Amino acid sequence: MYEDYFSIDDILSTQERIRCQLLVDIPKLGFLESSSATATLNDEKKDHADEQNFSSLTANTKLELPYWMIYSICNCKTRFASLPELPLIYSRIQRQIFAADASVVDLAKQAAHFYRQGRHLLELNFDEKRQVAMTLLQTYQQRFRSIMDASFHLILSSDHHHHESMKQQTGKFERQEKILLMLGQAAFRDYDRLVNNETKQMLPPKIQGMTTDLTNVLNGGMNRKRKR
Amino acid sequence: MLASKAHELIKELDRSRDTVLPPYNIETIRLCQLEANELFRQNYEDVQTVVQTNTDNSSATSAPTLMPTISIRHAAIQRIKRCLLAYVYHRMNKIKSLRWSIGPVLPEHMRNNLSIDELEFFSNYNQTLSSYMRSIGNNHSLDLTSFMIPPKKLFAHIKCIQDYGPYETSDGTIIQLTFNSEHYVLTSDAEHLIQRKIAEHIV
Repeated sequence: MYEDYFSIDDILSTQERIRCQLLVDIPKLGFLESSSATATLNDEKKDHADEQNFSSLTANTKLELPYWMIYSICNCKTRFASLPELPLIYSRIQRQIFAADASVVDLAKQAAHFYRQGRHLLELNFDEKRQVAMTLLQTYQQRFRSIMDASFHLILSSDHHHHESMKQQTGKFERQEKILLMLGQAAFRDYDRLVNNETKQMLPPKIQGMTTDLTNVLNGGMNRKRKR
Repeated sequence: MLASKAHELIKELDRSRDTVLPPYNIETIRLCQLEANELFRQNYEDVQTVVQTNTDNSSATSAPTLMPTISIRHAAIQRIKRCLLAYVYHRMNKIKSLRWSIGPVLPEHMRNNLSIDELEFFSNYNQTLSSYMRSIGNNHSLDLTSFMIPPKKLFAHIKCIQDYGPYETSDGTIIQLTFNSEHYVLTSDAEHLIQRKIAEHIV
């Protein structure tokens, strides 16, 4: 689970909530079930709040829990919860949309960590694992072309129109795709500098500092890619 | 929800990824630590009861088992720990890059955003780096932060981008630096002038 322990993206992608059903009673953690807790809290007086906190989650309740919690209760010797329900973005209907044309889906809005989250999801056990994995792969394959296109053509100019069109085209990219885009653009820019014989030029340190920041980002991206 | 404060911390980190260092969020961190300690305490108690019922062996089956509770709490503790460590780690990396881009002295508004430990880290990092830079480059120290690409030639062609006036080069000759004038000087002098944005390098 902890393949990049410090990565912000990884932490954010493991926070996504997943529905599942409990198989056993879980004592003392009644407050995890937000819907019932708030409903009863409103009805009863605040004095009962403490009591509520120590009530138990009964078996067969359906819950929405963050992925990291699901992971800890689904992947141990004695399972506490049933198979998790797939999040909407990986559901059968959505998979059909991806199969039809993956490039139109606005991943930035619907699932900002689509690939990462999907990869984490595959570590759990559920029925349609194979299909989800195939969808992830095919979605990436279909969308890769537009990422590559964007990284080749959407640079080298700073005028407003260009900027807008770039926003339009890259607005649908999710996090990992944006990192890939940045890598592509940086590589293309470097190549351009090499061709124009600008690599020998000495630049004031301020710009140099920015390039080191960029290389940090790039190294991060590289590491991520290698680990994948 | 468990570990929600820790998640807030990471969201804050994510938002400030491309900007300057935000203030060290001591309050949220304190809350996270308190939550983790509280969870640990509760877990400790429950583990004690589990161990006791196991040794008694009397009501082993009747009472609901506490194991799921314990494992969820444990996961939450680990989660909080991970978020806190990631927070500190990313800030550390940013502070390191500050040393390379801004230099040994941080401006006041940045210093105020650092915690005491981070300030100490910065000064230690500073010392380590400067003592290393003193140790290399034969007898005089080499400033690694100024030019990271090794020079290709002994002399460099430069063009002035501001009216500076007379400038004494390291070999003693005095050159007049006026706007748009071009000079052929030693690379070390050129580096110095470029660094101060008096001239730019012509390839």
